[in-house]
Amino acid sequence: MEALNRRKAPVPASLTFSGSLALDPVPRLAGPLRVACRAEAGRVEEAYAGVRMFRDLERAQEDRRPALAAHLARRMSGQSPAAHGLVACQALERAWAAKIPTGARLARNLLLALEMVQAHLTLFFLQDLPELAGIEPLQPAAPAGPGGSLRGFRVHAWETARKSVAVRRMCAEAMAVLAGRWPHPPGVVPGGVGRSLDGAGKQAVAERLAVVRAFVNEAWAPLAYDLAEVRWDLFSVGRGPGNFVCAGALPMNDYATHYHTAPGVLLRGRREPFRPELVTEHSGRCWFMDERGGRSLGEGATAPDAARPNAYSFVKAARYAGECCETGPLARAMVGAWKFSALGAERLEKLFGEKADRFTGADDAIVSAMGRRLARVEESMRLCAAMEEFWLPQMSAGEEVWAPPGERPDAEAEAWSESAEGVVAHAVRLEKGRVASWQVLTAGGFNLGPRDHEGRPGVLETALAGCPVDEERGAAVLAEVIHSFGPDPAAAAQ
Amino acid sequence: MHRRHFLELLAGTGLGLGLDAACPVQAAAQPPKELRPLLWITGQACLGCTASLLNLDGVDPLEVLSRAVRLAYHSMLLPAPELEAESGKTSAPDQAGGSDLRDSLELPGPGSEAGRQDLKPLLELARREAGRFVLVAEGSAPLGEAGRCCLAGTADGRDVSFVELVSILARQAWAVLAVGTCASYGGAPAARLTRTGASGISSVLKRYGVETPIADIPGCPPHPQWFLGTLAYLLEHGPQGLQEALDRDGRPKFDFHANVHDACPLLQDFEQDRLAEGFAAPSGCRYNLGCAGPQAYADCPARMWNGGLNWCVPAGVCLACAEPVFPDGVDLDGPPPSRKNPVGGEKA
Repeated sequence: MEALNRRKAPVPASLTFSGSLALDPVPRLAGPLRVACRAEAGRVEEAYAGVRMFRDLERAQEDRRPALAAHLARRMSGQSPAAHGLVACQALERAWAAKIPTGARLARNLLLALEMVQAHLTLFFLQDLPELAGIEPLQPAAPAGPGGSLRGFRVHAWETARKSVAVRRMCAEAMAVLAGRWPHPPGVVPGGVGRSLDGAGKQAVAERLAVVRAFVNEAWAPLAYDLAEVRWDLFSVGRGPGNFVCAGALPMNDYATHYHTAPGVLLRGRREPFRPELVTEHSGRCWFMDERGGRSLGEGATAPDAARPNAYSFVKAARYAGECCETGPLARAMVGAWKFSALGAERLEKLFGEKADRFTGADDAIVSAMGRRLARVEESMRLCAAMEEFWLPQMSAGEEVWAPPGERPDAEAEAWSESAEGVVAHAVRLEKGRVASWQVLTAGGFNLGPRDHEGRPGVLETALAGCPVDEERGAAVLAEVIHSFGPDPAAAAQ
Repeated sequence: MHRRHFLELLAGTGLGLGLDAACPVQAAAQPPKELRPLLWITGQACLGCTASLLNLDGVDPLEVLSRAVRLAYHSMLLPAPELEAESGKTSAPDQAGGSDLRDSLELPGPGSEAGRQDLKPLLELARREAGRFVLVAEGSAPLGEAGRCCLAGTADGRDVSFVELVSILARQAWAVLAVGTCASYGGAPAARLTRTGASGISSVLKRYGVETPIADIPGCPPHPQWFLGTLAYLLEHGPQGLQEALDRDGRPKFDFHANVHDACPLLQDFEQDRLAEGFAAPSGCRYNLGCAGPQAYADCPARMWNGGLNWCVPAGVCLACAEPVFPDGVDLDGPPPSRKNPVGGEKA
């Protein structure tokens, strides 16, 4: 099915710029990312994306007691600390064959979903929108654009962005009720969560959730689809490799047989189950000593060599079944073939003149710099609904939310989940009650990773190829493609 | 901005509610006629400190950053209007040498191509505002590997490490605020076994002979009101005044003088030998679960987090995350604190 024809939103072909350009640092990102491109006749020919920060946090875990290591695991990301904390706990629980109570699963789902919505709001309104709303579109707004002037739209966008700050704070407050505080919530512990919700706590979460959901559905979603009309041109750029991977998250039962966000891959147009053992990391172009390509997560090693020639990133290139795959909200939507919201379906049909039903075809215009932004708001709507309709009502006051995990001194396991940005995995090996090895893979390995051992570019590098570059706006459209991935370079390079 | 307005801003934060007599409630008696620019740069950071600042309640954080000071640069947030004006916003790409750049692009690195969106506008802004601006640094700075474990960007086609950037900007700043435990003392990136030489900002400035006054606002992450209160104190009393309000670990005494265990509402349980039976137990001292409260000095039990809704101990344990020893010196299995004779008491 090709519901949304990308050719309907063409970019003027009159661009002539040839030369090099770099964003270093890319503005408004959580961490230093350098993007360097070479353009010919107004199009990017090739791009290089390098994360140039490294903290050695995997190594910092070694020889620690697992309890403290689980606390430190949250520090991998300031945007997704609960996601990292949860997957770290899941890895330990798997290693110890520990089961968590139903109440803990529900609380963890709420935490992860709230954190994802928080990250999407921050990214869209505080990191992304200022640029998008302030820049002239490459071509005039679509014929069916929003009523009123472009200036009116910008004023509205700014006002909504100001309001979003309080809404994002509400997400953090609800997480604090569930887990002590946010960011770096201390209540995420092996065995469950550290606080049982009482009646007042449940009420506090419910009140905030209602405000968040109302904002997402009634303010953000319409604004996002207005933006899609104003910046119609962004449907035709930033496609990427067209392969998608999702590790799955938010279990709907205690047996992990059914997930709210289903695991899976969409590889060369085929839907397949997600198999973690097919994920490999390649460090051929990284500032790390180990250059044997194609290691799986658990057997990885991370020794820095910041002077290594021919290297340009502290992020290892992640591949699935050897292929370059996108991860994140759009990948989750494509893998799960999500239906558009009623608003989304209506607005896309108006815009493209064709019926839009689901996130499906990899050749569809939804696989683009604008589609990623719409996937972010569509996901937020779904998460708010699931929180309000499933997980919070299912929780009962005073419910058991923690069980002693029964530590085993020698054990190993890995766990895979999702953060706002995409796949996140932690692999742990314990010896004599201490951490012998702790390896982490984040969405950045897929989306921001450099070329692999065979020289094949990563997701962002692929998505930037073909981007229009004009003399007036310089590298602006590149930043718009980069931001569409919601990159978290800090978390990408632990 | 008028003084009264700033006080109103702060009143909403709980700083004005008499939580602590030493707290700078009467901050900003004489606000500067023109708002001071604030430049926020990030090194080996997870950006959790920025996320925490945005959680400020009772007052819009964007309001503070545009009315108490003027946020002129932040590496993650919002547009930087000043910088966009500086670079003309239409950063026209370099027309020269399209094809012969292919080889150099294979090896991106210093001098390999003309940087377009780079650090130069930030450096020019700092030069223009020298002596006036507040520099906020989030994250540690890697002194090992010639600083290459954190490259902040390029200027004139040359790599600028975060160590260089923070040294250059700090030298020109009116005052420096090191936000978070990483920027204060090195934090998690400086934990044992790590290999980047991660250091707190004050160590870096000492090493490079930069004498600009600096205050640490530790915490992983810091409470947003710790940042706001310290900023207010700085604007009111100046860099020297703030120096005098710091403890021996470089932190403002008004936020970090009380022992967490001593102020914990569960202290009574500890005194009466009631220990928590597990996480999620509604009562009982959590010392046996690995709480590091006895090691920690911060006003979390009174101030609470995220709009006063909760804090770490009722939902987990205290990790002493604002201490210079975090994370290596945090002892989750240490000997119990003695009763009626608190470990720490008042901190010097």
